[in-house]
Parts: sequence; structure tokens; C-alpha cells
Amino acid sequence: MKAQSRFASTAVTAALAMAVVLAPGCGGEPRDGRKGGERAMSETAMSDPAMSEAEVLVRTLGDASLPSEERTAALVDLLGIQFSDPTLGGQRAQYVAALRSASTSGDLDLRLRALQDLCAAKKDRDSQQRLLDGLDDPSKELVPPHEALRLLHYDIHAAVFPIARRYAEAPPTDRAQHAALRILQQDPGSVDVLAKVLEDPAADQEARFLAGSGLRYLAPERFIAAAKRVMTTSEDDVEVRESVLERLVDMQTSAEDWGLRVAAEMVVRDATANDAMRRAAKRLIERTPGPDGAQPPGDGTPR
Amino acid sequence: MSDDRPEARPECCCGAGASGAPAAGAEAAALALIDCVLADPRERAALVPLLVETHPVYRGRSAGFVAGMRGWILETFARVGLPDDALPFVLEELETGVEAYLVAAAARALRAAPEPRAAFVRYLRLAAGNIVARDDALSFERYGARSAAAPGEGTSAMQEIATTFGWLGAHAREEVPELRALCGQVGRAAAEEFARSIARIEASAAAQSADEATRTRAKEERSDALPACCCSAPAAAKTSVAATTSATDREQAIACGSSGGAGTAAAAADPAPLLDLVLEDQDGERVLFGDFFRGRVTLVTFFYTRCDNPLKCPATMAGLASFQQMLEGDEDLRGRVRTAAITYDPGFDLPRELKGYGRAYNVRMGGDHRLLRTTEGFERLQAHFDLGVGYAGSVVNRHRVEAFILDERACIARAVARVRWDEHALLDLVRPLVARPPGEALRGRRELPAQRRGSGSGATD
Repeated sequence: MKAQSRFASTAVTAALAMAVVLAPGCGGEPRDGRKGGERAMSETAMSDPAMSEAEVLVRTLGDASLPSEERTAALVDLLGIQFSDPTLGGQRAQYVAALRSASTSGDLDLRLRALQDLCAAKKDRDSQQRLLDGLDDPSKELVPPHEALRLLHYDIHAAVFPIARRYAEAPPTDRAQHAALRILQQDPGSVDVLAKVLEDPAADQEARFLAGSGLRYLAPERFIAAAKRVMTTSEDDVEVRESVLERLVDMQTSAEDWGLRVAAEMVVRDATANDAMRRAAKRLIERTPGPDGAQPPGDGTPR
Repeated sequence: MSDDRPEARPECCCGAGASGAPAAGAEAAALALIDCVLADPRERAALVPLLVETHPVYRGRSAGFVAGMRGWILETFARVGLPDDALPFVLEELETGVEAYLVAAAARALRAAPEPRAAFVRYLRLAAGNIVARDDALSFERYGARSAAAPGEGTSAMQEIATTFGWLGAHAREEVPELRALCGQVGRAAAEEFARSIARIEASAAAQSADEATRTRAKEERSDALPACCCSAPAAAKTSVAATTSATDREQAIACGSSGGAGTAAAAADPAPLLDLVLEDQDGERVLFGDFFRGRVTLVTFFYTRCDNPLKCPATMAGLASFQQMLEGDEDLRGRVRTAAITYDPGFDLPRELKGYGRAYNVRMGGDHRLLRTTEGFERLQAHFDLGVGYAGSVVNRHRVEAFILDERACIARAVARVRWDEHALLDLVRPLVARPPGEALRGRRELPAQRRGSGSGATD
């Protein structure tokens, strides 16, 4: 059978395996897609032997009356075929239509797999809009907010920044906030939000790390200013303070930033600082010798 | 044509296309204007300004919204006829579009041109190559519903391209082998459409061959500047198309200073408002616009590193690298022409991004060749060059391909916009500008402040 000969190729088998591994939101174990796909394909193909294998799989994927396991299996097979034939034997247009159909399936796993390909590879505008609508109105939610944000992250042109700012500042869950902040790491218009989260001692630790990364990338000067305040706040999370200090060491800070030197000296003298923080602070002081070439204060900690 | 009737515009159309409305209002106004045009096709030229990237209807909207609106405007042209001024937008989409909906809409709109032309073949062939692996199931029934309602329904971009090839008739006869090959890469419906189009092309070609030879030649000379075989000669084909399209949107020769007469083009060509604009290059070095761009002829292109259309910014950068190599190999031009690529996305494209992007495309970067960003005041640059770029917040939502050649006074001497530029053609445009001895260029540079004082345009001094 033509379909089997294609599936038998090593390249496609490897690609298929990769597609299964890469498939999103599987909630743990991948399903046994191959068996379902072959079963669905053979049944449909028997009714119309003139159909190509891709055509049969596309029809299976797009057929809402079939069990979601069979549709999922067909999708997994189609993802594999795409690696070697982006046109899917001429079925590309119908494949996208079938994906859209699958993206509204009652099965979350199938929805996520379909949306993954639609958003990551196809940059499908309609899917992006439906995800945005779901983030705006929970009654229209296709997938959980953190998944919607993750899927929208694939295309900065989807106008996702305004809604990501909303989720970063008032997140329903930590995961949604993290996903929103990953998006905002690409938005120069969101540096205020990133700075706010980074400097907020009450914010989730991972969220503050993400905000710091974004701020350092988009607005180095803003990051340095925020980092000075964070690293000198004794009551703040030690790991966050250590993180901003280490990032400052990695950055090219000005040798004439006396404020940074003063902040670093405060860290060296701060009883709540750990050894890693003091080491980082001393390296900053060495890079910022001060107007009189003063050396960092000695306190006996290792350098 | 009825387009010439100024009094024919109904009242509802007059305000519908007004610019300056907030985005949501602008969308409603645009849709109202489209409805008016559908009701009265004589008004179709009123839709052309809606295709410009900077139109308020696109301000702050997603790339998806932009595609939806542009596609619907093109579809409207497909229904009411394609005005000449809209042709560059259609060809642009066919040449550099990667969204199936927009390419399909462009292919449909092209069929509404007054007549098929041989020069269209090249664009349609490029569209087929660009979209065959990006095809989609589409609908053009109504605004906002661009996807086919269900698998197996609607049309597709390849189907529309196939139909348009058939519409080209004998002009596309050289393409028949390629079209046959495409049949194997598309679905059943599109393959059937390709088969019908091939039959139509062959029938048309046969009929044409049967005509008297002299009559055929005379007809071709009237209707087409190029024979079908010229499709493989991009520069020539582009020149031909340029001759058929708007003077404002393909390639422009703009008078420097105000001597070219009143109007935005002439005013925009005067570099005075930009001379103090601070630019930062790929190494973080800052330079004033006036200092870098005066003194030598300069090729200026625009790009942004987050562009996801491989046929636009990546192609621009590859073309720039090629142009630089050609400059180096040209004894007359070596060391006498600068190049600059300026980002549309200065907030994100910091020096490290510029440098990385330049390296990725082997762009020469150094004193006379720089990748630049504005540190502030990008809008001044946008206004000066009349850039075809729109934004949703900090992100570009749509842009055209554009390149400018500045003379040694930093005045815009030539502009190539919307359809992809060819580095050989650009070199030909540059050459006459650097033909004068270097000393003349320097004198021109020294004279500029005096000219500015004399013209009384010292607002930015």
C-alpha cells in the first residue's frame, strides 16, 4: 500500500517520533497515534481507493464525527509527513481547514495539538483571534490562559502585548503570569510592567526572574536602576537579589556609575547578603573604581 | 471611464474613508466605504488609500486585522474592477506575500484588471512558488470570514492563482510546463483548475498563432511592453510594470529641496528636518543623520529583525549584501557610495540585534556601511521618507519593501517602493549620481547650510 511505503521510510519515522515528542500539552504520556491513524485511514481508504494517504488522513482529522483518538492519530501522522513534504501531496489547504476543525474539538489534547501547528507553523490569524477572544472572555476560552498565551507567543504580530500586560499584572494563575511575561520580554512598550514585577517583593519569584530577563534585554538602563533597588533591599528575596546582581556582573555597566558602586558597597556590608551576592558586588565595585580609585571594602569574605 | 465623474460620489462615501478616526471608527468607516463602492463601482479608486500601510484604520491593529481588511479591499476590486492605482498593491502581494488569503485576494483582483498583460506572468509565477507550501482553505463570501467554513468548502490560494493563469491566456503559454508540474503539488480542486487554465492558455495561444503575424506583433506592441519570455528578466519586467502603474508608488524621482514645486514629495525630499536626528549603529556608535548621509551618495533601505516574511526584510538584507559586493567590484563606485539599513523597530533592534542580523546576511558593516536605529524621533524619519510601515503598539503590523538613493546632499534622489528592488537596477540608478567628480559632492555639502538659510526653512536649525 502506498501509505505504508511512505511511513516505512526511516526519515519519516524519525520525524514522526519527533512530532510526537514535540506535541504540546499532552498531559504526560503521548497517545498511540499510529495505530489509530492507520485504522482510520484504512477504513476511509476502503471507501475510496483513489484517495492519497494524505487525503485520507486529512479527511480523518477533519471529521468531527470520528473519535478524537483517531483524529489525533491522523494529526500525528500528518505532522510527520509534513517534514518531508510541506505541500502534503497537495492537501495543504484542506489540512489547514481540518486543523481548524480539530481546534474546536471537545478533546483538549486534540485542540492543543491542532492549535500548536496552526499557531507555531501556520501563524493562523483566525486561531490567533480565537485565542485572544478566549483570553478576553473566559466563556470563549479554547484552552487554559497559560496555553493560549504560549501559543500566541509564536507570533509577535498577533497584537498580544496589551492582553499579555493585563495577565502579567493581574494573573489568574502563576503559569498564566509566566507565559504573559515571556511574551512581554519582546515588547519595548512593556518595560514599565516588567520593572514593576521585578521590583515587587510580593510577586512570584519565577515571575520576577522573567521580568528581570526581559527588562535587561529591552532596557538595560531601566534594569540597572531597578536592580540597584532590589539588591539593596534587605527584606527582599535573597535569590532574586542574587539573580539581579549576577546579571549586573554579566552586563557592561558604566565605570562611572557611582550609584551602582554605592549599592554594591551596601550589599557587601549587608548582613542578610549571602557569599555569592558579596562576590558579585565586589566584582561590580572593581569595575567601578570611583573618582579616587577606591578599592572595595574588605570584610573577610572570599573573592 | 466613469471614474472621471467627480460628482458621482454618493454622500455616504464622502466621509466614510476619512482618515484620522480612531481605529474602531476607522474600521467602520472603511467598511462603509467598501459598501458604497460595491453599490457604485465607479467610486472604486476611493479604496486605494486604504491599502497604504499608514492609513489610520490599521493603527494599533494586529497583523491579522490588517490582512483581513486588505484582503477584503482586494476582493472588492475583484468584484468591481481594478483601478490602475491599485495595481502596485496587487503585484506587491503576488511577489512578496506569504499569507494565502492575501495572495488569493490579489490573484482574484488581478483578474479584474482591464486586460491581461504579459508582465503579470512573472508575478503570478512567483506567487505560485511562494504559496504552494502555504496554501489554505479560504472564503471570500464576506468580511471577517476568510477561512473556509468547513474542510472541502471554499477556495484556495493555488486555485485562485490557477484561475488567474487561465485569464492571462496566451501571455502565459511559456508557463504551461510549470503549471503542469504544479498540478502534482496541489489538491484536487486546484489541480482541476490548473487543467482548465492550461487548456484555456493553449486555446488562446493557438488562436493567436493563427492570426496574421504582423497583426499579432502590432497588437503585442500596443498591449505589452514585453514579450512573455521577458518574465525571466526581473529588472526589465519591473520597468515594464512600473510604466503601467502609479508614479507615486513604484519608483519615484523626487526633486531635491523645494525647487521641485509644492507638495509633500518635494518637501519630504529636503533633508533639513532630519540633519540633527541621532542614529545609533550596530556597534552602539552614535552619529547625526546629517553627518553620515551628506558627502556621498547613499543607498538607504529599511528593515526590522523580527520580520517574519522571508521575502521582505531577509531578502532586503541579502540584496543589500549583494549590492555592497557589486560596489566593491566596481572601479567607478568603490569607496564612493555608502549604504545604510535603518530599522523600523528601533525599540527592539538594539545594536546587538542589528549586528547579529547584519552578520547573518553577510552585510558589510563599518564606517561607510551601517545598520542603524533611531534613539528617538523615528516618526521624523517616517515622515521624511514617507515610509510604508504601520504599527500595533511597538510591533510592525505591515510594511512594504522600500529603498532610497540619497545624493551627496542627503536629498532623496530616487525611491523604489513596494515591489522588490533589484541590486543591478539600483546600481544603475546610483551610477549617474556619483558620475560627477568627488569635489563637486563636497562643494554640495558645504553649500547646504547656505541654501537652507536662503530658503528660510530654518525651523530645525
